Amino acid sequence: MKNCKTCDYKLKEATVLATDRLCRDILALRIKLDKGHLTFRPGQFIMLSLFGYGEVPVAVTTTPDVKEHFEVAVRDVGTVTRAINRLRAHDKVGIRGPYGNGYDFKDMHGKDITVIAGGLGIAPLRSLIEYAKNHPKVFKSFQILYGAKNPDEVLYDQELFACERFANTMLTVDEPKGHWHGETGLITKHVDKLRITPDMRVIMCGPPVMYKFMIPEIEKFGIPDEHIQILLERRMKCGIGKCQHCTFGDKYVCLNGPVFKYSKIKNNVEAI
Amino acid sequence: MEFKETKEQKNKRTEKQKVIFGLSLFDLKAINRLDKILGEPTQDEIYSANRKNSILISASEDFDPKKDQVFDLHFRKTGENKYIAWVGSKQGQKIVDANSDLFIKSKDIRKKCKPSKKYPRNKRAEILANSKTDKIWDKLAEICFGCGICSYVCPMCYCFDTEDIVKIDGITKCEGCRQRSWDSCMTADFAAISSHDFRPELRDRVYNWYHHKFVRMPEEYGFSGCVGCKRCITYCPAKINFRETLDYLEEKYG
Repeated sequence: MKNCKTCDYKLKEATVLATDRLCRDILALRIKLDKGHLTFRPGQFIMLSLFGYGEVPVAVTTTPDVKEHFEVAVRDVGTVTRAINRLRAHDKVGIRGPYGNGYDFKDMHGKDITVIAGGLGIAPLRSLIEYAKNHPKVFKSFQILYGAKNPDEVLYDQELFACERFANTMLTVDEPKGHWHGETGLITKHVDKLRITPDMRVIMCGPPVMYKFMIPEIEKFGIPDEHIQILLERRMKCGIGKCQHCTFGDKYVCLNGPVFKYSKIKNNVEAI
Repeated sequence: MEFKETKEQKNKRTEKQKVIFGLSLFDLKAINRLDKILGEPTQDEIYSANRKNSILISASEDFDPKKDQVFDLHFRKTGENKYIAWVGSKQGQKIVDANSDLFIKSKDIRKKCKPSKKYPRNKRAEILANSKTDKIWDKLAEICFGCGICSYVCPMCYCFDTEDIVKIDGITKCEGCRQRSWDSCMTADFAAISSHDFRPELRDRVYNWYHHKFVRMPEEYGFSGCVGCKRCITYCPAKINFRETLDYLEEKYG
């Protein structure tokens, strides 16, 4: 489609450098292309493929600042992702992409940024958080609200607690246990504790049910819908706007997304 | 695509040359449109390899292809065992030359299809885009089986799925293949991810079928996803006629 430079099926060979089991069913993989580097923008996704199993779309969780390698986080939910969860260092994978639009940095430049993540939704947002950490002058301020089911499922917790140096960070779990230092309760309960400014930008990623309850909470503060960016997840087979699996209404998640301004999709019931 | 262990096997695609015989003018129209859909922004390798190796021979009883339509040979029946043949390409000319005893030269007597009265495309798109909550979709969902035959017989339905298969049976040709297969937006898990189904109801899937053909495709490519072959009407086990749906909506909201 328009201006889509990477819209082809070219498969690049890559090697897993290291893996990190983030929780019971989520594996983080550090991947290096065998030839060249992956050029991408934060918020874009790739098609990760494993021969004999298939392909899945996954968000890149690191920033383009690190050129040598990139990371993804994959939850074991099906045949392909289960096989990916069994990968180890030195294993070979295939990469297509990057695809999608990425975050709208033009709109976010010099603004107060609030990042809200639910569960594995932290993965694509991590690239934004890392970016903000590396480029402290790009945004006026930065705050993070992240909710997970229980402390075991809080991903990148060490990293996020370390973010407190540059960002107001709030981690919450629905079911606390052990030595949990963060907040407890549903993520929507903590919206009041955020520092709200009228011109702030809210970037959200989480399951559809989170959007359903979170967006009205955010709107209560009078934040306009065009200042809310949300990331959508879909099944994808091509990544370039052909297979039709990721469509809703007149939008393609792979071409027009995965990052959408809420104002652009709020009238479509299939969006979230 | 083929692979062996963890390596992609970059074999040159060797599509067998084939003849697609007996295409209708609707099919030619559909191929014209698919060429555009799968030709941009980059040529779809699988499609173009198959296209290049296919000889298109079409036939009709009443009309001839338009000038911009792609075909190699076209036959129009004019009487008992008599046909007027149109040559649409060098390939087609080769076939004629090789069988010169079957052909005689004739004058150009192209019979063009009269343009039918068309409902304005933009207007239709607008009406459909705003009809999501209409009861017609519930009614259609009540009688529709969700079997997907309408998208199976449609020459314009190009949704696809991919899957990997590996040689364990001795029958499969390759060690491992990543294959593309036809897929239908009518099937239940078409828009589902592990944690959520974005179109759980049949009514939504039926609506999406219409929306893609008459709203999304016109917006994207400037033509609709329907060439008017009426196969979906013929084969629908629930006897759903998409024209009746469109007529109803156009009358109600137009």
